Amino acid sequence: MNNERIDKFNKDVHFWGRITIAIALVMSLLLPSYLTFVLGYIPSAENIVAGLVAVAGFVGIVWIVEPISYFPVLGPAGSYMSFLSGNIGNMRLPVISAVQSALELEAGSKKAEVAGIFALVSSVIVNLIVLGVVVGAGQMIVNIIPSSLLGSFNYALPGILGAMLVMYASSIKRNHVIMLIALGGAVAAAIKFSPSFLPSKVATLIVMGDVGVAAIFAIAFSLILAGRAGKPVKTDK
Amino acid sequence: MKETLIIANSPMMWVLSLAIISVVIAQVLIFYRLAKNFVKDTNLLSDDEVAKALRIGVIGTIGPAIAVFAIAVALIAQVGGPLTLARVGVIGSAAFEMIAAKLGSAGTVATPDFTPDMLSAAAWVMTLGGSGWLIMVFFATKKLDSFQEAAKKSNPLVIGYMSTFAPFVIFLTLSYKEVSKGLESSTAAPLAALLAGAVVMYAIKTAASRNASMKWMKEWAMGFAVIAGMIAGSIVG
Repeated sequence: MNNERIDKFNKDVHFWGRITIAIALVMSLLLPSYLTFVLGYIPSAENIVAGLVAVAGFVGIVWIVEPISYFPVLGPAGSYMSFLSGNIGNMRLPVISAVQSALELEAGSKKAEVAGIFALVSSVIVNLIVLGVVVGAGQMIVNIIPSSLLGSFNYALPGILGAMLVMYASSIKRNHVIMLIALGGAVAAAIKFSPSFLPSKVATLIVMGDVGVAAIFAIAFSLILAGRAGKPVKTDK
Repeated sequence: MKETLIIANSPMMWVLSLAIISVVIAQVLIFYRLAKNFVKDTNLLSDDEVAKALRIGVIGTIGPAIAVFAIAVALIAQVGGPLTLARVGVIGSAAFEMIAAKLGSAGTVATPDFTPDMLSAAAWVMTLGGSGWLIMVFFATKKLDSFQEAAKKSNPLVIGYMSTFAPFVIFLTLSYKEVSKGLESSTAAPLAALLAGAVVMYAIKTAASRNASMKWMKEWAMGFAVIAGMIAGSIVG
């Protein structure tokens, strides 16, 4: 495989990824700007600041942690795509993992990265179609479909998670699996006990950050383990 | 409240919201082309593998996408269709946006006090709250990529570990959250769904490794896991 072509591909991915993210950032500001500056509904600065402090104070850490902790699986193109369209833990990550498993690709390889892009393409499109149906006819559908059927979709995610755990556990050495479960348990325990002394609003948001934090520990663990097993890892340039 | 929702669902709001969605669609098309051309030039993946990856993206997304239905419908009732589409289609998970809307409107959302000014405040907080991820991805992805490339060269073990440990712990934490959320409201349904998904995956993996003619099952594993999860969850719940 020729290296020049790979370099070009990598460059294209970053170029287009950053452009689309930047445009999306600007575009998303248009909506509130329209309400405020065109229609003249000027909210009190106090409300915005209070809301933002509440949001930023407790997802602020997630903004930084998640792009790092999801990167090993998503890869560069996957990161640009997944963070733009959202729903990472429940849709993007499982889909990429499933592709690697079904096509028997080595995680972190170029092949896995490119196959992941194709899976994300169809995943994002399906997601948007369903969202379009929700926005267009959601209330009507909720009225028609028996609530027990709609409710059963709440178990789609746990079903996927169970499958993912088995998939990954079978590709990781047994003693590493045990260590990782201990690690996850420790983070879960820390989160379980932290909300008890925090107001419930805050607790809800802190609970949203646990996944990324746990994954950062897993990445640190990988670096240590790999460093011990092989040559020392260089973290600097 | 009523007046607020009329503004929230006004034609201009729809236009701005669709503009944001079109950025997501444009990005998907750009990355599809990049990946397609790269595969054509390098023969990295066969046509069959590309088709499979696309199919897995669809299979893996339908269940969780429909699961967002109920909460998205609730969000539409609170802040209107356009804001829901724009926020949930970009970055968001419906659950996060629901909290952000509440925090941004000083808790007035879905109450008679939800004035247009409050809608505007909520829109700002939702948008800025989601921007954190985009900004981080914009600046960090390239650096993470070069760090990972460097790590790959100095010690290939790192990538193998990171790209399996991190997702395993992510899925573990997500599983814990789903299951404990169920147990807190005294239902073991999510746990049953999780176990059903795990059993299905284990069965498919075992069948595929024993008998090559069963390999096609791996492609559909996520679909089977979702269905098994929904059935098991509904029976227990």
